[in-house]
Amino acid sequence: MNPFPFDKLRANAFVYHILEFVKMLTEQELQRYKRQLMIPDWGEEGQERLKGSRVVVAGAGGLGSVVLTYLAVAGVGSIRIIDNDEVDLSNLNRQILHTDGNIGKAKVDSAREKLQALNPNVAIETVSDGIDEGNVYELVEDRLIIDALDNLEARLLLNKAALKANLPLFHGAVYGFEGRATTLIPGKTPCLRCLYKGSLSGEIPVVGATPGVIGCIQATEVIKYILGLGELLTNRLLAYDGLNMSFSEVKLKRDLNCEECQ
Amino acid sequence: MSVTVTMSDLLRRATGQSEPVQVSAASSLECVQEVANRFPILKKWLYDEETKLKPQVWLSLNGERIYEDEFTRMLKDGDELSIMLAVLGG
Repeated sequence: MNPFPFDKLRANAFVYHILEFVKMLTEQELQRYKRQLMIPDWGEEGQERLKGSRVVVAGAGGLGSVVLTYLAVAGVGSIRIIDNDEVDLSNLNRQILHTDGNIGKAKVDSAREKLQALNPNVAIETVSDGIDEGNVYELVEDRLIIDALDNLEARLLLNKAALKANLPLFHGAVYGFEGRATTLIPGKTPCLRCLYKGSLSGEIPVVGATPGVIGCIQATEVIKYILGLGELLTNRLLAYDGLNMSFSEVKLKRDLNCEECQ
Repeated sequence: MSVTVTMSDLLRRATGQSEPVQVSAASSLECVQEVANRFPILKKWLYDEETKLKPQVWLSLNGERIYEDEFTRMLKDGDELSIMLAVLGG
């Protein structure tokens, strides 16, 4: 008899690699997560999946603050944060995990403090280091990848790691009042390299609410993926226009000339 | 071909044009050129110094992302082209 009640999960090719074993919930956790346990098809089994899940969030800035917050409070069991930056006053209009008192502190340490205060039941691991060709595979391991970075080079390294390890990559990006998000699954969707051949460079303008919106979408996608619920944002890009207050979608397809995934 | 062109926020605001633009063009590439001719301020966002489309310009035809090898395909009346810029703020 299979001791792991995850037949449904295993049937979903998107989530086959998330869990190694069942992690039972404590009474305190059942109380903490009571309101989300009430969501149809979530239940204790879903919560155990979240508890047994491992993610890596690259970037603890505007997007990262929001994604991290919602993954932590949802009960994702193991969260690795990568960021080599320190908190600066100019970050505080949008990077909501950091405060004035954290200025000069490593962002990963500042983020861990708040996240542990929000939910002491999740394991937070921090890496105060840049992402490069030499360390990206080790940093990612077998974790679901959340791309909350602010530069193309490092994002493309995450993309390489996602392709090599066959891991989903939850992408988000912002500029001013605009934001985009998509969920990339190796072999099933385009990769990040298909989509990005270049980008605007330099210091970008941004209002904090924009990474708020996009970070929430990324967190929602991660949770849905883990639980096997709903329709993922695969093969489509969700574009948010805060000034018009509209969302639109662009259908995505692989670039047959992509140097990374073809 | 009469094509409707929409632009993402950044480009739209640069033009001061809030509504979609109607242009006559045979291909997506010509379409972008026509829009840039009508709104020269867009050229710095769309073209490099050699007047080649910048790699961060994303085009979508009838709601589907297209890539460089599709930019010169013939359009048909009523097609809708969307121009966005790749952004990467985090």
